[in-house]
Amino acid sequence: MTAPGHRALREAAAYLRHDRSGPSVDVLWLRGDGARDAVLRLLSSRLLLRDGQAQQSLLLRDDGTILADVTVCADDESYLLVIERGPLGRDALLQHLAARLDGLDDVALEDAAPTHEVISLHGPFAWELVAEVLGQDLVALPYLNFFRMDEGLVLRAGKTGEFGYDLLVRRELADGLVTRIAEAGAAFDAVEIDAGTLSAARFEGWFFDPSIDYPAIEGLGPVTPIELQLQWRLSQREHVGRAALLSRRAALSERPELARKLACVVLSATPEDDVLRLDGAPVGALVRKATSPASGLVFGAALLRADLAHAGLVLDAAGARAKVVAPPLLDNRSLYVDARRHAYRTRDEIAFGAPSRLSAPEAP
Amino acid sequence: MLTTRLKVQVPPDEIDLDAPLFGTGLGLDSVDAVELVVAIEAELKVRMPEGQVGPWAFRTVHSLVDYVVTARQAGSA
Repeated sequence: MTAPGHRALREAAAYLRHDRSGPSVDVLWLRGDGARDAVLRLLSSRLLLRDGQAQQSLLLRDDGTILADVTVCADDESYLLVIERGPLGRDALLQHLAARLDGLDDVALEDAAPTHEVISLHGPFAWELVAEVLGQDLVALPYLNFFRMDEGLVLRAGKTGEFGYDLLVRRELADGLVTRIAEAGAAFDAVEIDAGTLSAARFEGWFFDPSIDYPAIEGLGPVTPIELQLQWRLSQREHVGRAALLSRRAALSERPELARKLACVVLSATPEDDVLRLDGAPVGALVRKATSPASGLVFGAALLRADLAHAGLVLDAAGARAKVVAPPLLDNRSLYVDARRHAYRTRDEIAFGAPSRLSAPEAP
Repeated sequence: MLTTRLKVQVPPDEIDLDAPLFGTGLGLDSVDAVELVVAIEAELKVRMPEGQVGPWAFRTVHSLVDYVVTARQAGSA
């Protein structure tokens, strides 16, 4: 039976106060004439942003590994960084940023935590609840754009495959806003969720999660965005971690047999250990396992030999089989919802897809 | 197909299977989606009838490849 919080997130709307139940989100502004130079140095992705737009990016360490997941917003002449740092301590994050900004002129790092709180909303009808509470103009807010409002700022940037919004709210107004969300949310069967529910939804939706601890690859070193299939968040310009990534690519061109990719596998059952084999030889390992709340499938994230990370391949696990699939684990309802024609109260008229197109492999 | 017909500005060996096709992933837009369907139908001989292909198929390179492979297998069965 699906938990109420997950059902709300996948079928209606759900909300989360990050201060009360992580994941840890930090919001920082980079201000000053040097702000653009600062984000170009700190962040890994191409940055083609107009005012009001946002983009997914990464904060990398000098060794090319991922320090934090970032959504960067172009806020007039400043940049707003919404940072998910996983297990990394807040002080360590701030020290990393300060050290990499050293030597740049006219840039100030401003922490929003003392003045603002992050509240997020997720679900196929989250857009309708946001519009009900904060204004009908928000129905038209495109993905990866933000809108300034009296209470703070609303950013559309989902990480579950459903409509998703991060509200950056002035602290003195946060309690009142949550009350309004709960009151208006009653008509949407909205539920307040915790970090665990969001994490499970994020994993089955196959969105990058900085809280996962990836083991180093033997003969190669620690896992970078290259192995995590996040090269679309890398640019060709100089940035923190770029030299290490170039070295990694050079090493892989010399020894391609060491290449690994993070792949999604559906399992016939929870295996007795994490090793995946092909014809008896180890070819990878599971780094996280779960049961998808939406589909009921047992699945995992596996670091696999790169040449095997293709949908359809079936591997052996201890007491189980593992089939490589193209994620996500579910067919998100948000893909079928059109804000111009649909509403939660008439949701029965929408022809949603099946919960999942995937199936488990046969047991050994 | 992505780099030649759709002019994706990423070296082919840096295009990950699980990279999102649209938005800030590989940067395709709705016009590219039409071009992509035309290219797949012409070059890979797989029909992609409007309204019959689930929206999941267009999420990533991997999901699109999975759709095409499955459709070709079904067609040859």
